[in-house]
Amino acid sequence: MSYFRVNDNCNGCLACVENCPASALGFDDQGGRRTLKHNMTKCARCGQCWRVCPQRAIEFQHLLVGEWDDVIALDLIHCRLCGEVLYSPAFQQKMESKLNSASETLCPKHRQYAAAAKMLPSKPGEENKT
Amino acid sequence: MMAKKLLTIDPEKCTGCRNCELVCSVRHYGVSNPSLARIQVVKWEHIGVYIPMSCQQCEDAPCLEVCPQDAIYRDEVLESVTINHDLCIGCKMCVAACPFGAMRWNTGRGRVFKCNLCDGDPQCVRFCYTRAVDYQATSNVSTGRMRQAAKSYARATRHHKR
Repeated sequence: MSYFRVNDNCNGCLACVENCPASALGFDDQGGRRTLKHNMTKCARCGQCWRVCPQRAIEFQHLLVGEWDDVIALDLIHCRLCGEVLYSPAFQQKMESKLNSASETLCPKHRQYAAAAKMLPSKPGEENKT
Repeated sequence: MMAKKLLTIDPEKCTGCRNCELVCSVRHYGVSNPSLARIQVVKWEHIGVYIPMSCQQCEDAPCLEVCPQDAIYRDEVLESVTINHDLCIGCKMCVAACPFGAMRWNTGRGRVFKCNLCDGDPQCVRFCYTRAVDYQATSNVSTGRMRQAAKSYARATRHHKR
């Protein structure tokens, strides 16, 4: 999906390309077709294309609003006692390969409890309860 | 090199007053805030057992092993496991790896923190009136139980390998 959008009014006059001070617009005439191109890394969002466009074809507003794009979505592993988010499976895998052993899926607080429970003089019934 | 000294704990002496937590946060952050303390008292109120927990300065430290930036090293003088905050990128793998929950994340400052033995003068020890927390040479007998517990815990977690 392109950030720079034109509506059906565009007639391919290329005034926007000529007037872009950042050289962020280009075009390609090939196979009998004209393709308008835009490079977001060059675009300064100055709005010059929008101002010069004789067809009022350039949709500029969404470039100024700013939206968050989802980049990646990963599964999560939670503390098995309180449900606190710990890490992704890939993170766990990386950690365990470095440790050369499996790790308990516990948050720092419950690790602290579990470790302290090993030091109890005698075993109480509910050692991992908080 | 001086003999290696460790923070040792004697659960039977701890009254659960949490003074250690307070002086720790005051020493390192200038505020009385137990959530920023590097030592924390784990409590079993129904049986009256209190155990102060802090970094064990493990010889085979998981935090040091997993750090992708090699930002955790062993201090030459105190032999404490130490963070180099200039190298730390905040991935929190050390937090996830520590079997004692002793490496923690400071949400406000966006960085990890752990006990650094107050550069050789642990304030928790100084203010522990019952000497439940002490700072002494590793050869001392009272560390026996703690190290045994640490070992059995490490063994137990290894058994969980899938």
